[in-house]
Amino acid sequence: MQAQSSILADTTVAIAQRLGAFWLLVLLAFVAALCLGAQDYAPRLLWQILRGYDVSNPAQAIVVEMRLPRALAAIVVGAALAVAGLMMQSLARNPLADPGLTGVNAGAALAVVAGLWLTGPLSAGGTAALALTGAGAAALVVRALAGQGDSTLRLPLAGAAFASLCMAVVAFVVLLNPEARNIYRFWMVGSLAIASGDGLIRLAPVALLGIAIAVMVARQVETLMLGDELGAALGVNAGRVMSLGLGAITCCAGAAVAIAGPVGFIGLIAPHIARRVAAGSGLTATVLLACPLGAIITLLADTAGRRLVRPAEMPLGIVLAMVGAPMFMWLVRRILRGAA
Amino acid sequence: MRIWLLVLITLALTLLALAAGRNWLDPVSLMQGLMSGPDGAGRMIWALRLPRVIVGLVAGLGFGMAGAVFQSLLRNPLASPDVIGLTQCAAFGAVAALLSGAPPMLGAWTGGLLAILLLGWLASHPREGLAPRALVLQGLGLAILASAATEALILRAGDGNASMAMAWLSGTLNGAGWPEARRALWLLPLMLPLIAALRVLDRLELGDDMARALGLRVGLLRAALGLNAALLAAVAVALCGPLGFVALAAGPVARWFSGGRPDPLAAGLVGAAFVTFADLLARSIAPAALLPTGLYTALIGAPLLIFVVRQQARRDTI
Amino acid sequence: MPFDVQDLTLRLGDTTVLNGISCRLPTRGITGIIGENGCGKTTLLRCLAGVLRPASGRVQHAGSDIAALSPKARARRIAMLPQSALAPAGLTVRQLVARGRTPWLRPFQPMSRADHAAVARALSDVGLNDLAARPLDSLSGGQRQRAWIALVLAQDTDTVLLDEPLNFLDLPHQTELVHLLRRLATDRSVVMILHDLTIAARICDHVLALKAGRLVASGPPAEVLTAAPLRATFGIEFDCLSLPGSGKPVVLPQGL
Repeated sequence: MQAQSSILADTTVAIAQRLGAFWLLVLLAFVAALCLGAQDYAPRLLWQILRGYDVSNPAQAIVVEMRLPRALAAIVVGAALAVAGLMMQSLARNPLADPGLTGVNAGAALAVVAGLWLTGPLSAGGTAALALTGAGAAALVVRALAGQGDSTLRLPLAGAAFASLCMAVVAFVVLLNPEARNIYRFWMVGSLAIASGDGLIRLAPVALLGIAIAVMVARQVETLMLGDELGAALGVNAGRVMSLGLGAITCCAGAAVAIAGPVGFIGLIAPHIARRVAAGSGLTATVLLACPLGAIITLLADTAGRRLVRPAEMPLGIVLAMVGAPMFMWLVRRILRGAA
Repeated sequence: MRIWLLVLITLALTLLALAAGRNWLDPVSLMQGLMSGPDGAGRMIWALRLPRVIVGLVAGLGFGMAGAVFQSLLRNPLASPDVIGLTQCAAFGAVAALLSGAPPMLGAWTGGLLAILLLGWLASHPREGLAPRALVLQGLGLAILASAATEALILRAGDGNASMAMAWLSGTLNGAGWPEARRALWLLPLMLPLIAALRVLDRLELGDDMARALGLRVGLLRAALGLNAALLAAVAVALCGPLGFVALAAGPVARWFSGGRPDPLAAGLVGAAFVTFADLLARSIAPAALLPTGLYTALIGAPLLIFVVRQQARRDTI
Repeated sequence: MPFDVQDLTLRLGDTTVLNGISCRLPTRGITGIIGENGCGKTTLLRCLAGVLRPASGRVQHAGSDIAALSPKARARRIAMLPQSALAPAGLTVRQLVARGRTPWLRPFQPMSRADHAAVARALSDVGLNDLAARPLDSLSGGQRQRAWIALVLAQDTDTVLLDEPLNFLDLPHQTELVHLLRRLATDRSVVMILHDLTIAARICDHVLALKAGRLVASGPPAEVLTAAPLRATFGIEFDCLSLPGSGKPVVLPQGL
């Protein structure tokens, strides 16, 4: 008994250590995101800003006014999408689920764009509300579309079909409005280029709420992953856990789309690394680890996108697709070869 | 004779597309314009509308035929070149060639062929051979990757304006003139073997061993037809970009017209009618916005993709 | 002498699926191939049909090496119904059966009057005249199996190979199909894979028994379906009786 509890304590310590290391890496990536870009600055500049921000200094202004909200948005979006992806994979018992691949992000984007079209410019709250509604509705639609059955490959296929319809409508609506053309790529692939501190302040709490719900229900979701019947026998209310899980996914994906558009693949890449790092120590630990991982990936991808094609920039969604799509293909190949 | 109905529909849409535009023509002046030749009263039709309609028809024929052949060879209605990433890879190749000064046609061919090789390797199973459901899913990944890479390429080239990216990612007939129309005619020789392959495709659908027992050289025919269809799709991409969902939609719709048989000619006609119709919409709904034709094919085609996925999920074949 | 098989060997990867098979099959009547699952029955059938090339050895059909025949010429002599055959959706029975004329058709030419006659003959042979215009999907399992057999009959060959044609049929349909096959075997050679030894004993004129890719026994049922060859084929003991009247063998696994 004692030996067992000490093993548990050991794993907790190990997870806490890894968690600490990951957040340290987030800090490093954050500093890199602030310093690097179309123009590179030495980290010394950050120290100067901390000692006293000088608005008249153009370098300081760029970092504080433009890069800071963007880097903070990257952290929120990355953590939220990583958690959304992990929850989807756990609830659907499908390693290929990702808010981008399953059409949830596209549904959120469609709802926001439709709102823009019908009512004109939206407040941050309105954007968030529409994105949440769209994400939730899309999750339900794709679930119904994929139907019941144990084919792992069906969910991403149904999601891709639904996403392609949503994106076709989004493209149409956005392009019909000539003033909206500059935000076309934002709504098609997702980008952090227009992330503002204002929107972030309103949307970050929604994402945090989603992550909190995910952490809370993680243990019950884990039990449910054994199968609905066994889960019920172990005292888990499947309906309640499912709705809470869907709520967490909706909050996370909706907030992320409202900030950064329909970016994909973070929810695929981060959870898979998190699961490896967590090494079987439970879904709660995996959720906690997925947050900093998603943040690191998003920060690095956004920074890379700003530097790769200077002075233009590559949208976040494009960078992530170029990394994520090969990973997706590798996962499919592994599943086919019976490894999963 | 439903196939004649199809010919009639395509013809009617073609005439409508010639009449449509910023100023609509009534049937009489359309006929007069067509009769009067390129220098007469119908100069506008001859110089602007006719080449554009020809490019649309030929590209639609190409996409439709290639789609039906792939769907039939792989026995999967989802395995059309635009779903499995072939057209996206061809678009990537064409853009890469364009930016490096090589002929786009060559780039599109290379991209298309590489896509086929890559998919064959990705979707093959050590024991069960090519797994159709894997092929579709791997193709999905490949399509996303190739689209992203194309956009990255355009951005990297510097003069990356949004409209070029848009055209090359969704396909458009904007700016198609006589040079494009003349180039489009080169596609026709690639179509002839596919039209002639009706009987072969039909027998292949009975299963490989059955087809062999009926005296067909299955491996050779499959490779030749697949290669031919891939080249055709790639050339169509080089012409006007990857017009999404044309190849996907043409096969299943054509089966209705041809009584359930995999008829590439019927599929080509459906594709031609589809593209012409989409371009008609593009030129009449918001002519000033110059929206890509591929946007309209996607709007019409995406619900069909959902329908096919749903049907396949019900039958438990994916 | 439709088939003269000499030293047939076939490898797939590292495994030897067929190992040095030599046999001769009669020109008329039914030849049954028996053996455990995975012993190479289907592979042997595919080699006989010429759809699979053996690594070494020869399959001769009526005096000519089938590897040397063009696929079309081969398909005019030998027909095969594989288990893997797929029915395209929406096909009518007549359309399916007409597919059997493929090796006789010239490129780009529609079916001739002779082709139509062959299809009609095949349909009436299996008793599906009345259902010819019905979609294949609407038929019962037994009727569908007869439609597939009509397809290989329309191919108009003197040799017909069938891979487990009696599978998934209930007893009345099995009996009906067995009668049909007996009738067909009066003027052609029918080679088929069988699971049920009772049926094999009653309808076969010749039996091939395979074990792990090797030919264990070959001959009339009265010789092959006896205790010793069956033990060598299946690795279990059988009670062998002979039917009063016809003298045909009846075999039952011991301890069942």
